[in-house]
Amino acid sequence: MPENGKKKKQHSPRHGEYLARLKRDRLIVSLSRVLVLVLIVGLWELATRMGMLDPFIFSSPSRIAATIARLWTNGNLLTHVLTTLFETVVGFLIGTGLGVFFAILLWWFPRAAEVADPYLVVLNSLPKIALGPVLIVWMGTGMPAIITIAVLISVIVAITSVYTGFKEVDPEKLLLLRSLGATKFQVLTMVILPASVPIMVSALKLSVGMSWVGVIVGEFLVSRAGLGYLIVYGGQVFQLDIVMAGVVILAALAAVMYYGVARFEKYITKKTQA
Amino acid sequence: MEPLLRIENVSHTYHTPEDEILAIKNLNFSVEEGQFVVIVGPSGCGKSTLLSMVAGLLQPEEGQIFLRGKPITGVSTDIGYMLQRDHLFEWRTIWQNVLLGLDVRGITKQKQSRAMELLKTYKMYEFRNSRPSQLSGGMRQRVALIRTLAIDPQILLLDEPFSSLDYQTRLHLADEITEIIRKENKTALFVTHDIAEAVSIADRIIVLSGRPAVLKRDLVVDLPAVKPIERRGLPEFRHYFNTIWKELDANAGERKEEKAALS
Repeated sequence: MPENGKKKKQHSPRHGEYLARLKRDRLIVSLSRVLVLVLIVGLWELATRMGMLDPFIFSSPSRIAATIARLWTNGNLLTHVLTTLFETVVGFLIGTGLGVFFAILLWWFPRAAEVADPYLVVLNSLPKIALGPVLIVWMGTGMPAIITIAVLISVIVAITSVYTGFKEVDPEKLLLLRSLGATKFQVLTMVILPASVPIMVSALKLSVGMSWVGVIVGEFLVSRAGLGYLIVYGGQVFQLDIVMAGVVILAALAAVMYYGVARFEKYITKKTQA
Repeated sequence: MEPLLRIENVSHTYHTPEDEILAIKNLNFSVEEGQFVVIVGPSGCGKSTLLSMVAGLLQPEEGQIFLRGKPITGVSTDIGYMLQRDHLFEWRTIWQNVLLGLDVRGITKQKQSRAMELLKTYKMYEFRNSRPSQLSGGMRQRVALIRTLAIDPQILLLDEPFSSLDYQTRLHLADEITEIIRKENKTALFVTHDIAEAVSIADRIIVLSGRPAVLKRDLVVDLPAVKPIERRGLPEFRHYFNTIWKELDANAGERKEEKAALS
């Protein structure tokens, strides 16, 4: 990967043209992206103003903006956002952490991994949300139940992806360690784990998305705070503005978090792998 | 006197659910201290299996292998195993990679300073803080050799260490690596399927047949201990090359006949 850490080299005019072309292409894509957003928002607003869409059912960008402002000054929007954010972050951190932990166990005990395989396959394909009502009965209707749902949804994906990563570490690297007389624990800490850092971070990326799903569903089912609560509440009192405001904020937060983790992934991969 | 390495009546079979494959059949030979022995044989003839057994990673099904008269029962620092690819770890610097074996075995001050000496002698010192990806293939393989030498083994096992490199780098590295091994006064057991490479570096060549591997020829290479690239230019080089070529070719012919008879 070429990096801008190196000093800028002198280049031929033709190379300069090539670079300019690259830059122009990137600019076109970025501008088009913004344009798409502007177009959607604009048409939506226009359609509701001209009476083609009923703003009571479809809401509208200006009404969403007004609602967000109102919720903000009322003071409880921040609480909702922070609640959901907290649950999601805790959910995916615990989910990924547990995933790595179980993946290590499976790697350490291959026999157990073989026994567990069909169960993992079933758990992986089962929509974990279906367990929501059970968890509420077990854990009550508070934050722990919501976080548990988020963890449950993200942990299975984390286990399978990290464990697969462990198994894909070059067997010759393990042979090298064994020929040096390494113990199983040394093989784990000196090869398996460092070689799998990128896989673990990409599992983190998967978990983020899963955790959002878990938290929002959890908040749908129970809770008195959070964006999921806000959305369900808006639906119940037939205030589509609130529902849409919740969805817009959610989209923004999810995007920011995803890009954050993706940046982290890039950084880590560059640091640890060729 | 007891040789450094003695391989005695070794046979080994591989088991798969479908079949069992006799990889090595009743192999006997020994290696004297300081010798540079090259094992030549067709691909997949069990050369790597043999090295794994000498390295103590695999117990032969039959027979025994002795190091200074003691049977090899497991991995030990007396044996340094250098694999086909360098397997330098990207998450370690060159220096940390060199220390890998010592990290596993426990670092002593003395061993660490020896490793540093090796790094300096073989001109990798200035790259000690680099990452493997910043080095060329040949340099990486040199670091891999230093990593192997750092545990101070009595015998080096090299499993086609140049095969992943392009031809020119191969020739250069053959020069460098043999020079290092001779300078460090190490005994080496080197596996390859490249006849020219074998003749250019060996003191002695052991020719194995295709599967199951049996010893076809044990040949002392009476060429001056000059650089491998210079050896390639000597008139006797051809003679050794042809001898081994015929040995391997006869072997391949037999196999063809066998196949014909079977079908």
